[in-house]
Amino acid sequence: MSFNNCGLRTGLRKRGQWQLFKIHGLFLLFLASFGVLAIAADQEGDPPGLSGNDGNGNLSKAQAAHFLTQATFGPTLEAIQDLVALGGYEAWLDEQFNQPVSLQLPATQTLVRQMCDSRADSIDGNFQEARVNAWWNTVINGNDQLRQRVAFALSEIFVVSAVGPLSSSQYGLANYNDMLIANAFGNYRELLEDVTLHPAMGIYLSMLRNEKAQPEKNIRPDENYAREVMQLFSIGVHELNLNGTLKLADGQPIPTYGQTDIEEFAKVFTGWNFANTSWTAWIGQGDRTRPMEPIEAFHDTGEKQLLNGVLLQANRTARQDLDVAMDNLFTHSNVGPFIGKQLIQRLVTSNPINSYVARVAAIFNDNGRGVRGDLKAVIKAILLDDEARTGHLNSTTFGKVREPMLRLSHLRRAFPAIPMVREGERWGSGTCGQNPYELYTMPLPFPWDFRLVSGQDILRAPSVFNFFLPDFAPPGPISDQALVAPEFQIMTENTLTGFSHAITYEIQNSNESVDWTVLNTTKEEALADDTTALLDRLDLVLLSGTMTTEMRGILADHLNNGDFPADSQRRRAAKARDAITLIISSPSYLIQQ
Amino acid sequence: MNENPDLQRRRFMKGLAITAGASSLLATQGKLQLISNALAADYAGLNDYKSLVCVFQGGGNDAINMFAPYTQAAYQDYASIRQALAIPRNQLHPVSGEQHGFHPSMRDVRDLYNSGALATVADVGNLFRPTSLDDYRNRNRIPPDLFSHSHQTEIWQTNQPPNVGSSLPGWGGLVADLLDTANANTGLPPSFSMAGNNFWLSGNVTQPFDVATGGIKDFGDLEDSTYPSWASSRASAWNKILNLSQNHVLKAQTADTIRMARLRIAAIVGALDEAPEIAPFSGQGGLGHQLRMAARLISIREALGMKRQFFFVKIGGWDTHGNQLPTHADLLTQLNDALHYFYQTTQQLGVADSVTTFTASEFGRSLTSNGDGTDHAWSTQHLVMGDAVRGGQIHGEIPTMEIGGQKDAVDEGGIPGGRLIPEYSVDQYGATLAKWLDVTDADLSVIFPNLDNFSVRDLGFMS
Repeated sequence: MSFNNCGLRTGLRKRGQWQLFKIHGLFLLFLASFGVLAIAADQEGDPPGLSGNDGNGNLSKAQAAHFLTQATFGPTLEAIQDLVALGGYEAWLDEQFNQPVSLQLPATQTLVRQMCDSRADSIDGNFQEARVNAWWNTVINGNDQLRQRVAFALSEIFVVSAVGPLSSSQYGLANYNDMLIANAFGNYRELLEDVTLHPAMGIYLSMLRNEKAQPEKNIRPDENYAREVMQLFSIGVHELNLNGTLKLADGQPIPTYGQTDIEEFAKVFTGWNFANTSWTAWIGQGDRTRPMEPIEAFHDTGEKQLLNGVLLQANRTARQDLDVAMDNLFTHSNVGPFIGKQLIQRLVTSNPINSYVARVAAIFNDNGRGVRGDLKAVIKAILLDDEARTGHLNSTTFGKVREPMLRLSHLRRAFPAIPMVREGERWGSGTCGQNPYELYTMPLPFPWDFRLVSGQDILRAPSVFNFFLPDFAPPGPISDQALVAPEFQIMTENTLTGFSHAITYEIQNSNESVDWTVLNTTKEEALADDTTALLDRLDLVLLSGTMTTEMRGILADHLNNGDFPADSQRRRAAKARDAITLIISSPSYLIQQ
Repeated sequence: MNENPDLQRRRFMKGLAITAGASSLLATQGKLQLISNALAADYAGLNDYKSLVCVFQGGGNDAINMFAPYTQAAYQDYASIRQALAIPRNQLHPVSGEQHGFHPSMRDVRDLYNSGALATVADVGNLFRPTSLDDYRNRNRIPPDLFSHSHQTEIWQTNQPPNVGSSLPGWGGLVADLLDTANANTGLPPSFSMAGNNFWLSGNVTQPFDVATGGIKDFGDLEDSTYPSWASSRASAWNKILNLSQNHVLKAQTADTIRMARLRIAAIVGALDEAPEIAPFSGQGGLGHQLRMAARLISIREALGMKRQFFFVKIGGWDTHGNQLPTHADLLTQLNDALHYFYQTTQQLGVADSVTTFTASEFGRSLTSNGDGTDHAWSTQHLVMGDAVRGGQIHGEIPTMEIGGQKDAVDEGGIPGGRLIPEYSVDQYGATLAKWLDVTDADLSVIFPNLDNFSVRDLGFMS
């Protein structure tokens, strides 16, 4: 892997330019109307194809775009140029590892205040619109792309959701996301403990105020967290080989735990409550942003038999028990392949070959310096693996369905989204002296819920089993070849059409609407009378340079022969919008390779 | 009406091709076997209309509190077992005979029960054969990964152990595969989901149409249009892109999925536009809106030439480990409102005797509590609704509430949790419904792989 440190300078300069697009859409429109932005239009020339680098060992733009598709919320032209200028993936990763963190709770609270919500300083509330918009602002505009991208992947493994008992704990959810964001480059052991003790998880999987048994009342410890922490957050239900395949005994999978093990772990997870709060205090008073704390009177102090022969002696504290139980799960040989494979699925490909999983799991087990669970090393191993970088070449199975959220984030980054600008108002009493705020909202059909239209939303899964299962295999060629495609679970007539309506609105009304979020396609419009230049640009940014000759021919035919307006501005706008619309609605785009 | 078998086969194959958009979705070896199975019986001549609606309660419904004992003695047993989680007796809505009572949230459902339009089916769960406590302790052909949501959901809907890396068909989908031969050849599947993908309606031949509760849309700006002037050329380009040959498996199936969606949408939007007005749902929650969409699709059955239809709706949140009393009350209100609304709507459409609605849930909940909730268990009770149901009664027996008894699934030396082993399998429950839909006895044995392990093939709740 080649290094090129002088690229850092370029990166800084580009970020300066990038700021321009974060400002309000109306200002952008103003600039655009004078053609100011058009001057900045493309000067990068033809993108190299997949053949790769320029012959001097440097990254090609297509390679950069391919990498950024896996490592960020979607490549932009500037980000591609930055990475090429940096000269290597590792330099980019190091830069990302050191980016300042975009935290969600402060941003959410700021938005709630700007919305003039009088409950902004409450302990928590139903501030979903603010939380979701804070997240969109971060993934569109934030510089800590890798950290946020990994945190998003973690949010689909360590699932909590606003659908259910956390609907009025939106600060708690934002803070849970911050916990994932903080741990994305940390160690899995800490992540697991922070997940376990987060009050949002405590509420969601009812470990909060889980109490020791009272046999005379037929009360047993709550098994919810004990079950799901094993099934979903650490080891899974079956013993795995290092490469993620099932260990078999007499041809059958070997369970990692049984009902009795769950009951033993359920005892471990007793006695935890909101920080600095009494056991019986009204639950609405509990702080959802500080880790849970033990109240020993409710902790089960009996012996507990953990996995792999580990026995917890009686009369230990809740925290002592928790430490050993976390270690017990953390050191289980399943964690590396179980978590590693799912991270590969979220970032790179639905069906990683066994050796890829084994390499990542081995790094999880030992980062090379004797440390287990180093997530930074795991991320590097996933993204720098030969499979991630070249596995798609000549493969008919490599890649994954682009999640709806990642399709939208890519569009909103590549063609910088122009948010709606609103000024907060108190009910019936005018503004409240706050700055205007930005909303990334789209027109939606009944029942007006982005999650139901797209199948997805940030921290809004229908259950702890996420929006889709990691081993979902849609009937048809995919399952016939014993492949999986998790995201296919939410690719249906309903989501395909509903999301298509929502997403094409942002494109087809680019630069124009003030009613909803739209995209800025000014740069593409400047190229649009040159079909080849336009398609080259979009091929690079949207398809990492993989557009086939056939598809290019179809698009060119439409752009060159469609009955477009004579007015040059309208014509260029229509052509740019159509090219983007058609590409992002194509099977070639819907599958990230 | 008996078609010549060859003719029938050709018609069937043509239907397949249209349904799948002549795609590679079906061009695989394994399917051919089922096509011949489908011809084992002649369903093409079915002339009456019937449909089946599955209401899935995701998370594991606590039927113990939904339908509780009401006689003094039995109530006392229940109250002493459930302690603080027991529903106060004077809040229950007793059914005729006052042996049991519905949860306080379910007054309308109780009224449906008493009027004979709804029945309780007792002691059902995932089971591969009659199973004793010893069988459980010896892990003798018990469903794998008992008490796990994801695994038990899949088993409930497919009657088979999950097979990692392959997709098993659901029993609703297999029934739909067979009975679709009675439907006209419109390119539409006989099955509709208002709740996204699910195992239950995933057949070997037919796959459900996932319908938004707000209605069916096309692809908007990507569809052919006279405005703006370049829209037609744009639509044509997209069509060509979708029809490009794809070597990549995921891309090929994506293209197939979109093409099939377009064919299905085109085949239904006209009829749906002409559908009669259906009263809006004004109760609590989203389930009623899902069922209203099912009612709209039922209302256009004749325009679609459908003799058999299948619907999947879902309401999540039943995993009441914590805060059970208010959470469960809210969910049961939603269920009550939705079932009540839907029954009335089927009456207004004149199909109350030909639409049967049944509840499903991956498992029941423990007799023991954890203080403010209950944990995963096994056996549970279900509700079946419609005028073809032998309503106003319990089919089977509500199991005795005994912790540590012969039905309590616990290992030797373990602490019994009151996770009762079911008496009846989902195979029997489903086969009773499928038989009502006129699936032959021979085909029931194919669709329900465990049915032959039980002496009773029909639980008797359908007339």
